[in-house]
Amino acid sequence: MMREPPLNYILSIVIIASIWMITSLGIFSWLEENIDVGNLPVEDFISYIRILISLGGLLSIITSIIWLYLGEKPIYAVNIPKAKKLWLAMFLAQVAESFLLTLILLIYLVIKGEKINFIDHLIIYLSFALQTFFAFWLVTFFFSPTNVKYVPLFKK
Amino acid sequence: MAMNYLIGIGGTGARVVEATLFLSFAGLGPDHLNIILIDPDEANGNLTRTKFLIQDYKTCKSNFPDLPEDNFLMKTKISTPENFIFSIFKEKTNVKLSDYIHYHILESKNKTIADLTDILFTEEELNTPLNEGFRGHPSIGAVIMSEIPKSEDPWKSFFQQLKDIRTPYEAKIMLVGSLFGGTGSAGIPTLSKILKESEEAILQNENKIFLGGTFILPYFTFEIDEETLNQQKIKMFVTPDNFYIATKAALAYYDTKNLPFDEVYLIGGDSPRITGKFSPGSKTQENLPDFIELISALAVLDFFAQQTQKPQSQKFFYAGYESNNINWNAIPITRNQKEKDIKTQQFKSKLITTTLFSYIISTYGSNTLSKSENEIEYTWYKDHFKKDSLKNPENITKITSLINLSKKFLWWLGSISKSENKFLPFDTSKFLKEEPEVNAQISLLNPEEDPLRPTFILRNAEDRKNENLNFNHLITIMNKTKIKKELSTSTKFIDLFFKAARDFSTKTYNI
Repeated sequence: MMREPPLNYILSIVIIASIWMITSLGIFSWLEENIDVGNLPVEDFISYIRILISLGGLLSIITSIIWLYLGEKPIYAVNIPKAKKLWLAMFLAQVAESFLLTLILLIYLVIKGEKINFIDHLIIYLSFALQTFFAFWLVTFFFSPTNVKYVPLFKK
Repeated sequence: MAMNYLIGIGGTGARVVEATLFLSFAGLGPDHLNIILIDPDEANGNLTRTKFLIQDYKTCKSNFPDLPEDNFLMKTKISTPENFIFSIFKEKTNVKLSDYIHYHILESKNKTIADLTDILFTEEELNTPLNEGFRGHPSIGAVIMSEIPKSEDPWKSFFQQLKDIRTPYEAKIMLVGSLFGGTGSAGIPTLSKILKESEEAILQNENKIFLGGTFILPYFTFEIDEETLNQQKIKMFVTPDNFYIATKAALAYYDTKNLPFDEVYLIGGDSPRITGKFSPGSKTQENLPDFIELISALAVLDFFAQQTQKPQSQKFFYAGYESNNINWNAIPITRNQKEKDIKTQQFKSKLITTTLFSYIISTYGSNTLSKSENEIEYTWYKDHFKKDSLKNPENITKITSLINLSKKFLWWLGSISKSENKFLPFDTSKFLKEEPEVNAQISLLNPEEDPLRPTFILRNAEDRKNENLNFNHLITIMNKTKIKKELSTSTKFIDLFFKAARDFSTKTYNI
């Protein structure tokens, strides 16, 4: 049931939105109180990373929906290797996306002439990771269509 | 429980039993059926084929005792006496009529009877070895079959069961054979009287036996091979030229003898088809299954489907062609016109599902079993078999037995669906690489090689509901199919394939 559309679509969106609430409203709110961004107004910085993570979340939803849609296609019932390649490509795209978001943040800081400490960088990156490839992995792990339910990493 | 006995007499009788078994495999048979085969030609190819089929069916049935109620495969329990072939002669070679009736003793001790024998039988009839059948001479068979050994199987078991019956007409017995050869046309009248008039069958003023006969009229032919006849110095043999004369003579004879049948089905075709090469008998006498055998088997099933009751009068049924192309509605499925539509629908549904099941388990199922555990990544496999040892030798043996039976079913269906047979609902080119041949392994198209090819095993567009479904859809259905966890591992495998085939058929075809 949880693997059937439209329920798996809805649940995936809810899960990714929940992760966004944890990262954007939870972690980043905590970060707002604790981060040192030099002369840069902390509210501006947090708004900026919230935009980035929202973008990541949106892409994560789009990628997950594409996977749920394609995974339902009968061709993947028989051709599991092809499904595995597709999932891996999507997953790696999400990993790349998390790095890209971090890179954009770095460029933003360079343009603004500020820097943040390594731990803050790590927290922000982990948040991006949580919102992108982890969110994708999580929803595909639980809500992939039956034909491809064993395709996501670590699903036995 | 009624005692259901199907007795196949001669090569054609064996082939009708074969068709009955395949219909039973497809869930169309009665709950229980006992089978006896009668043929003096023990090496006859048709008989041997049916003998192995009976053994295969029984093995498969016992291999999957826990198939769930909603799985109709092999619903019929087939029983046989330990020795279920009555081969008539104890001697395996060179038995002659003259030896059987002790002609040489008669000549010296009872000249009158010997002279009468000379009038009734030619020298060739008296001295031709009969181990390869009665060679189209029912007069020989009638003499030899007039005595059956009640102390030996298969008759020992048969009469013991008959003895135990306490209700009139509870023993339903169907004799099946051709009227145009030797064994069938001799055995049908002779056995009908022996069985019905036996002391075990009499119950006060009633009879325990409700006797049916399926008489098969000429429906196949062959070309006489003069070379074989000359090489083997065969003088007495069946020729197709005699088929119609022999049939007419047999029917006229039966008419005068007031045979004790309660119900008779007369089955025949119009233009006889060539079903094999010429053979006087033995293992070379093996023919491809024919559509007429399917119709005869349906007559058998109609007989066993009737409620046990005291027969009012003899009933005769016959079926004839309405057109050259046999479609579902033209099949004589039941005597009861009110039930025809629903029974035709059931027949169609079960035959289509069994065909699809047989096809996917013989190809995709078999391919999956040949892969190593780590190679199998299908959802249905991981869902149901990852934790069980599907691939232990015992399970493999059981499943392989059913795959072999399924392949035989497809071979039979392919044979009766050959275009000259006129039974045209199935388009066998969608799953067979080549048309079935006698003694040849069936060659199946691998659906995995072309999974997008539509799985239209039915020829006519009006039989199809969804034109777009293919093998990938079938496996998608299999992935979503639920089966009972408490079933044994091998049964789970069979039940999963069956249910996927059934659900896919319902989505794809008008059934």
